[in-house]
Amino acid sequence: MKTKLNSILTFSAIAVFTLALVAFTAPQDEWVVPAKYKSMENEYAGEDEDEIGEDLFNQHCKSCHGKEGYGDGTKAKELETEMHDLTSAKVQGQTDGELYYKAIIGRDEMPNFEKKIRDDEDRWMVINYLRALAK
Amino acid sequence: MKKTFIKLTNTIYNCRLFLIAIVWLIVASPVIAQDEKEEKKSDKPERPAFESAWWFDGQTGVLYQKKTLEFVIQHRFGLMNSGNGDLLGIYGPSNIRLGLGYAPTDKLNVGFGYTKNKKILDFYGKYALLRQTRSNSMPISLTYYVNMGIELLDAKNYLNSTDRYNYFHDLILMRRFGKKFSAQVGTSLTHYNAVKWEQQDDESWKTMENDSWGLSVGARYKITSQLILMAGYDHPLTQHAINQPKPSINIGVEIATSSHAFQVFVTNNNRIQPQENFVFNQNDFSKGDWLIGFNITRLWGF
Repeated sequence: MKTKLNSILTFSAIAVFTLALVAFTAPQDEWVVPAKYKSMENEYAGEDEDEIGEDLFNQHCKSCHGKEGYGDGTKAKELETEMHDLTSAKVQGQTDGELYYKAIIGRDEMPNFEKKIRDDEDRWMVINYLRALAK
Repeated sequence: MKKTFIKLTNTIYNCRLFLIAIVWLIVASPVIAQDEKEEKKSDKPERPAFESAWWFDGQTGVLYQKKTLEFVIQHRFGLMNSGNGDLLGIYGPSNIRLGLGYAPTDKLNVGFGYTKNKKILDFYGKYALLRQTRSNSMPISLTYYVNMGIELLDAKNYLNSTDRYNYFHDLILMRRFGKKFSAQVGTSLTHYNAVKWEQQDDESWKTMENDSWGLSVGARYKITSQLILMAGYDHPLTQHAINQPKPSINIGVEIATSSHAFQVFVTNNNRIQPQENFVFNQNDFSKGDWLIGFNITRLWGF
């Protein structure tokens, strides 16, 4: 009887551990970007006036995404969300509008920056800086 | 009154070169710096010249955006040269102010705070009169700051209840010269309902002036995106018969993050309200009366 109970407990512990492991490594839900943002035009493409994009990135993004955007910031390990390399083809292959939506509107652990970066021009400077990181 | 006016005129006359230089620097340089590229820029307000609305014990010309709530902790340690072995004054007698501020509109900030020394409760308002634009159609920002201090010490310290009140007005001319450099100059008027008076050996009485003018200049230089070098100088212009206040120098760094601004500096001002320093500061920087201070600002956007 005791052996049977031990087997059940061991099996349960393995099951819980496996589930936890799967839960933490499961791929993130697909981040659907509304069509309005997807096709948004970046009228400031290529600009970073006074290096505002770099300043804003360092001020708001660096602590999680890392200085070079590799996803290795000091806070990255505290997050449950998998961090992507911002210089990777997966990120850089997205339109400016898609990056704008993800960087400014955010979701879950990715904060919303609409109130912290209110000027639309400044927001685009951040996107331009993300592009510059890959160069 | 006439005597005060003559004294003030003389002081301004003595500082004429300095004042002309500052005004020239702020007003004339945009014309020099202007290039063709700027003509294409839209006429939006210029980006903030300083990271924070606080400038040592005073203010920058910067206002927070609408619906921003601010919590500020201001701390001044003891004098470094106290001789008490208190680790450069860090364990010496300190002064602290805690404050809350709010921006109901983009052009108006209001708030209040409470300071440990003299138990001063203060209320302030700050209004943007002019904003520098990116196209340079307006080359400067002009900000009006006013506060009212109420000392909450025991009633036995005052002859009249109105003796508790003091007022400070500051007109701040500010310019962002580019990504790295910004400067400002402020002219202030302080009014204390009650000031110090002393009986002299010949039994006559001498008092401080109730109204005091002051001049302050400050500049910042951005070393990196988040590390800023900041320096300021405050000069009391009014000559008092006794207790002439000492000018002050403030030098420090500011570290700005997403929601915080940390300012750490050395200064010879122990007091936190600007009017207190302009009228009562007796710490002389030339005699090594320096102390360490810091301001921590936390912002929330609504």
